[in-house]
Amino acid sequence: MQDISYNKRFEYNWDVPFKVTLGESYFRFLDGLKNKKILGNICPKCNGLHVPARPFCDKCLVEITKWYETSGIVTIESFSVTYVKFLGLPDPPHITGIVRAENAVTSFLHQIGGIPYDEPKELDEKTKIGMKLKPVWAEKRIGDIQDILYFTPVDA
Amino acid sequence: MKNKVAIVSCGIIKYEGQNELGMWNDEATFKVSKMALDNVGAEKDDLDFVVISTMDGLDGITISNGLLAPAAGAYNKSSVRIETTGVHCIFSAVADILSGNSNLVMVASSDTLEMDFGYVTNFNQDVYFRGPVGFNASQSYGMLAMDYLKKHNIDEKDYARIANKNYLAGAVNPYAHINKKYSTEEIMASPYVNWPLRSLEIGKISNGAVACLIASEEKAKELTDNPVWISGIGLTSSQYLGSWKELSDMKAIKKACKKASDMAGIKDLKKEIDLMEITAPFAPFELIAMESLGFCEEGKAVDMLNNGDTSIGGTLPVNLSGGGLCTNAPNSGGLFRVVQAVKQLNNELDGVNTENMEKALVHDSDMFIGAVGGVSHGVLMLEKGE
Amino acid sequence: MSNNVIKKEWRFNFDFSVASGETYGRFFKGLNDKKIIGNICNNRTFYPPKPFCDKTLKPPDAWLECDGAGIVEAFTICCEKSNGVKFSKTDKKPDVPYVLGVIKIKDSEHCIIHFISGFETKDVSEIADKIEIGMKVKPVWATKREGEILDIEYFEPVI
Ligand SMILES: [Zn+2]
Repeated sequence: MQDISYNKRFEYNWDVPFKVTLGESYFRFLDGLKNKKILGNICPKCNGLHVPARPFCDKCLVEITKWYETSGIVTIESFSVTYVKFLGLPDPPHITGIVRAENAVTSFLHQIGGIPYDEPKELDEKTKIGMKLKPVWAEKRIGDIQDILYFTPVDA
Repeated sequence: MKNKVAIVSCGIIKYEGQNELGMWNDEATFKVSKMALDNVGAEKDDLDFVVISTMDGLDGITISNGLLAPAAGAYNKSSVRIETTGVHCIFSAVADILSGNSNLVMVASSDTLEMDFGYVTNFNQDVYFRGPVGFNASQSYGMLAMDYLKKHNIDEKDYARIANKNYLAGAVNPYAHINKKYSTEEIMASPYVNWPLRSLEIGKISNGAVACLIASEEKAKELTDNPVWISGIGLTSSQYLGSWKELSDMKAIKKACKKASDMAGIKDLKKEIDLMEITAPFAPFELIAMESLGFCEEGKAVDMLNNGDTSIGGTLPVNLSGGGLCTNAPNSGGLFRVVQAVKQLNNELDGVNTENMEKALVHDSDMFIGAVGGVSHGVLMLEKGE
Repeated sequence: MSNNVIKKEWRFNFDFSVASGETYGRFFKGLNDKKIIGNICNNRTFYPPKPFCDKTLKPPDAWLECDGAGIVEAFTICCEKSNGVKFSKTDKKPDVPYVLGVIKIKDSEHCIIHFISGFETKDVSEIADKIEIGMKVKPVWATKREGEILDIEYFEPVI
């Protein structure tokens, strides 16, 4: 058995910066966001619409080159309301949603906002699968997924 | 293990400097994997298993399987990600094929980011003893280089000569990151980084991607007329917090090589091996590895170097790819060397003539060679055949 | 390469906390008292101690203690500043050039890595000439000790 009276706690830290230059597909998607456009691309083999745009189709393993501009309206496929504070995330309550653009074969993660509530707990009920959402754009857009601040109900 | 498992196709892009590739891990992985499939007219659906080799600290994301495995064709298929070297990945592919589970396996790896490699390799170390003194990979290279220098009374200029030999080879390799023919004088004039190593004697970090398709005998014969057979493979781990004597003696390489040779039925390495690719991120490691692998007596590798035996056109060319000084990719370096050896056996590289070369040895290691910290070494034996 | 590119920058910034366990804990407690604790397994001596012997995979038999004197087995002279788990926040990077040595304490089966200092020159070649393999060194203790490896400020040659 260990004699835990000798135990000593060590604190340490990693703080490493990384840099990468993205390729054309990710560039065009992010550049589209600057112009308030949500772009997708279509697989030449399975015709699957990918939003966000991707360099290749996972399913067919072929390059995707055909571009498509979506309306920007997305549908909630799944969501989770967060009631506690997490490092790097907005103050609670906030809603993380898996949303899908039009008839895309892929979905993506983003924040959902602008659903009115009195008690935070109501958000569980008021957020609905299948709900249509539209993007709320940042004032200053830099070509980042956060150029979309969050998605909000179309009729809000 | 004759005629059981073969490398049937390779995909590779030209290596560049850090963040000079202009694409992220997934795209680079896709490009080379697709290339490997296309080269032999295979489809994603022909794949049974996918092995990815990258490390979190070098990917800039943790547990990157989700991102990278599908890019190599793993969607709805079995896959693993191995956080060590290329030869370990090939081992995994070979095991799955020999078990009868798979006929065709994709092995892929990529490096696409810019990061502080020294810092990341400091994370490889424990946080009690070695982390706090800032110990990193480059320093471990310096220690081994010093050990060899003092043990064998070598001239520092010999280290510059090995570097020069590698730069000459890299200059004619279309896939190598560094294509500049640095002279021995230029190398000697470069500043010390970790004495006795100078900056041109340590590989700059490279970005690129590489994939190979590994197939069962039956599948190999169906897909290609130029299979390169995997005749032997050996892996060994060294000690962590081990004795310097044991580590500098490279016992782990010796054991890995013995396993691989035995499996390949190789009796006399010196006679039978035609060319070698050695993971040498710092110049003199080539000498140390050659001796540990048993190609010459201790302290004699420098004579082979100075005789030109290991150069282009020599009797035992080592690192015709330009080695770790010209392409130093921490994730994909091992597979890069495997692919280079395959291309050399197939005499596919324009800059060098490797006709009639039949057998190759590839040594691979995680990047902490030198390593006073635990290291994994892998040795792979390749054979040209029908 | 296409001109249509976006550069992305991000960082890993993680804080970790880990418990030493008894074996290493004894070693670090020893440093506080200017002692080097080790252990022994089947006549194989370990400074610092190991929780297990990796040749036999058995737990060690007994604790040992010594003053930390040892020999230099290998070294490198670091001429570039480098980042490390301990340096990133405090930014207490050692001034270059500095020597990082592989040191075997007493009759230990394994080595530790630590700074070797006490040379009167900053010239790399001169430092290199002053260090011999097998040279005897001893720890120089920090005045303020916290039970960590840097309680040994560095090792210096025994004259
Ligand atoms: Zn598709």
